[in-house]
Amino acid sequence: MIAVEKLIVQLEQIIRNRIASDRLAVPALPATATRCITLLKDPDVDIKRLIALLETDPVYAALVVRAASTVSAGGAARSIEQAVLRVGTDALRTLLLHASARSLFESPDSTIRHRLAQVWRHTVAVAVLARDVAALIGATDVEVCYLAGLFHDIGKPIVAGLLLEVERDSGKRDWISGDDWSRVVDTCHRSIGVALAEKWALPPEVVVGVRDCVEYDDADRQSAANVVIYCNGLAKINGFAAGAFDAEDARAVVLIGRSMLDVDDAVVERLMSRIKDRTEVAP
Amino acid sequence: MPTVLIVDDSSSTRTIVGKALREIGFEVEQAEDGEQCLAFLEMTKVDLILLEVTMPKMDGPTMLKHLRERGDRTPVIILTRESKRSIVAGVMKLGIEDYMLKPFKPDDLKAKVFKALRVSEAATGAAAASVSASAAPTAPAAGGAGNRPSVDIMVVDDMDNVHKKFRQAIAAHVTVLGSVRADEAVTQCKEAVFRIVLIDMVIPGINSAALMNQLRALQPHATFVALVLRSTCDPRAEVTAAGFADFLYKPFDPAATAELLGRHLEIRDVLEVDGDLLTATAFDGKEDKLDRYYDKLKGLVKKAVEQLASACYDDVILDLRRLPVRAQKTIRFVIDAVKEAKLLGLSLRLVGGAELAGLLKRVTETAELPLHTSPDQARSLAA
Repeated sequence: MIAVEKLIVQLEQIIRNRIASDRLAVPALPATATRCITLLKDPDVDIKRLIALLETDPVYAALVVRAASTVSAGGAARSIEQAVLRVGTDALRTLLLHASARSLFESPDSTIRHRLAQVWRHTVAVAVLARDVAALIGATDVEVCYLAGLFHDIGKPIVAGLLLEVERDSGKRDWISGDDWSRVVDTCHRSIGVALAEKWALPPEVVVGVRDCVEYDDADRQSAANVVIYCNGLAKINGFAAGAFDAEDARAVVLIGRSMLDVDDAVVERLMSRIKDRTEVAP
Repeated sequence: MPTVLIVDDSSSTRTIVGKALREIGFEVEQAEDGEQCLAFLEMTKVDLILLEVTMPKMDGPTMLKHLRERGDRTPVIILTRESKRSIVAGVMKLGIEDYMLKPFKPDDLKAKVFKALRVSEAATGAAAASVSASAAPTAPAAGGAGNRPSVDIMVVDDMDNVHKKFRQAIAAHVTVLGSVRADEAVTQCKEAVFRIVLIDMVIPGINSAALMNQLRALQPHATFVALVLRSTCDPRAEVTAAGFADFLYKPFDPAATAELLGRHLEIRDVLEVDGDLLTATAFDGKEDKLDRYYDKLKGLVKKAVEQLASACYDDVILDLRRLPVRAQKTIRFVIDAVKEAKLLGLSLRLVGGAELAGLLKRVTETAELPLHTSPDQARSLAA
């Protein structure tokens, strides 16, 4: 086993250097998603071009059709056009980003894949809760909160990839315990997550939300970052943690957030009651 | 009366919080820092401490550590501008009841103070010892009215026949509960939501104004009316100074009683029931009465749904087009209504406008609830 503290320091140094010299290998947003999101930035989006683009990618096309078939009582969508109209452009952007983010949490290594699956489960729970809490407190943009929640741990699979590089270079298996792995990933992921959010050209508010979701900011109580911090704690103490976590810290986060955001305990309790089902059908 | 110690280096905080707590009948003591607080607690016991984190000389966490080390388990609410998670986690380890970030809403503080005192009483088993038996303040239901049933009027008078006489003087559909003791009144205020509370101005051994303030903390939306004996003196100045909204003479004069109820009790129900169609009526009161509207509406919807279920209906239509939409209240109400109907095997069909549709869509829990634009549309789809 290795000295975790030393590894963390070294890894943070590597990440800082790679970001500074623009050599950090951050995955690109898939091409179809990039093009669609670029189109969606236009308030007068050309729906026909959007549909044509989606039709070229069976994976995204299927996602949109499936999403359209669950959001409406009108039954299954019979075409991509119908699906896009039903889903709406805002939700379509979230859907594409959700699917693209999901793809990062895959790994050829079965142990890493299992750990990342837990991180993804936690991530989606935070995103779903963030959207609900944002709506309840009357935050200006609930989708920003959803995306900030969805991307708040997006650096973790990339750090996991870096750790896998270290493992391959050293040629040793089982060189790091599960808890140490979580600790390294937890400590080092933030700056990479911000770099990825910027590379994927996420809305600036989302990038700020990902960057600042560490410590509450009293200056802007309803910020996306504050919402994500609160929901992160809430998810952890309600069984949606990705591995070991500091329970006292999580409880403190929830206690502060309740007062910071002025949320109603009774409503949050109701939202938590079906969180498992809702994470499975998110976004 | 319970005593609350405010430990804060800001004199304005001590003044404002102290005033709010005195108004609801608490004794208030003050300390400017942790050292003063420890010295004070060596000599005196208090029921609750409101503690700032950042203070000169000795800060809140250090003071709390010393206090716990000497075995003092007095409940503490952190009242602070500090929101750093490591600091709050640190004080949580030492044992606190709650945390409030400044600035805060006075009503939230009052609710947390009551809640903390109840926890303390339960832990020590000394409710009667630490709190005046005549007017024990106890915690309101978490999150406000919660599931408490709604009752129109409570009459607090040590003479048993007063509430019976009052009952005879008013219309049969108005619901009334009577209380002959202050502690009984407090218990009832914990368990139900009242619209008007009548309190006798002369109850042996009880300060009616203090009792009213404590009941008000449990019933923030109720109207408080003083009961006074008819005499040659005009009681108006006295009851107004004590904080009552109105007064009513004893013995009861039916015309004066009806007039008083007309002033303070909205007779019109908030829900119209026509077969399987339940329609929420418009709310035209002040914003601070909205909780009462929602409580009443929730109770009536529950009752109506139970009646429809017992009459073997399959569907119920809830028309919310005139409902005042407020994010948290509305979401909680809708979720509860759907749950209530589902429990009884009924399919609830909602009717609402664009504002409600927008709100329901924003919350995952309600996003997929079908919302119809009219009762006819809801019926045709049900068919």
